[in-house]
Amino acid sequence: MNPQDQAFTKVVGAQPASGEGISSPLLVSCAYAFIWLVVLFYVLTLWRRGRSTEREIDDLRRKLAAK
Amino acid sequence: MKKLFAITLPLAAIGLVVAPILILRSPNEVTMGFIQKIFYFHVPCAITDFIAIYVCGIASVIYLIKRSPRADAVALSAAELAVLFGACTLVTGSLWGRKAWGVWWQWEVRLTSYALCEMVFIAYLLVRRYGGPGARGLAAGLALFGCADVPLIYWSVNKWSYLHPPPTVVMTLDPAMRAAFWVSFATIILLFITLLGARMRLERQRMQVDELFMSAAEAGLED
Repeated sequence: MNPQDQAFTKVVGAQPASGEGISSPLLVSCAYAFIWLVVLFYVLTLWRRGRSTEREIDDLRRKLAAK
Repeated sequence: MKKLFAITLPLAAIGLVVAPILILRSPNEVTMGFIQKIFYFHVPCAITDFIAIYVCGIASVIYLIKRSPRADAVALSAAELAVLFGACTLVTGSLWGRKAWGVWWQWEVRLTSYALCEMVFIAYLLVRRYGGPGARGLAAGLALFGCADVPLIYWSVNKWSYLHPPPTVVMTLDPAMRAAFWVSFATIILLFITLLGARMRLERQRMQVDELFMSAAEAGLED
């Protein structure tokens, strides 16, 4: 093996992020928040889709009743 | 449906308040420390994802055999939830891995097969959305592929995985950690039941729209 392959190399530019540097409570909070944000977003889309479908039903019923 | 919501919604709301308290009060794990607390919602999300996948798979088989629109509605609703809980599992796992393993992602068998399963159900939803005529049957076939991936995900840890903890950690959990886990698990399952009920209600409304469109077309009101 080339001795240069085993040599220490200095960091050029920004120091790469290390897992040790990220606080655990922050990661746990992010994970918990992600779940509830995704669920909240899904509930919101369900509500919006439900409202638009209900409007469509009412519209069609009105048209049929008018006929 | 209203009776179901009357039971599951308050219980899920209680769980949402109680689970974080229990998680914070549970002891830290000896090697991983505080980051191990992601386990309390990562694993329930994964189990709920598997349940959603099998609900979708069973409903898809029923649809393929009987061509039942009701079974198709259940399959579509469960597939959306499989994508939702799959995404939660992958993201929470990635955050856990960053601290525990030092990387956001590792191409090892469990993680890769899980990501593949998630992509199968995203493909299911895309086929349903843009597949045109025949999309229901094609999507049902895809759901079966997704189901076939679940045993591979489960057993991959015992056979080939070198990083991910084995599934036995749930059964061998320290008594002081059990309450936090089971309350979180119950909360997420209740949430799944509630969301599945709500999504199926939407699908029933869409069937109603289709019937009304047919009636309107017969009456000469719509093209």
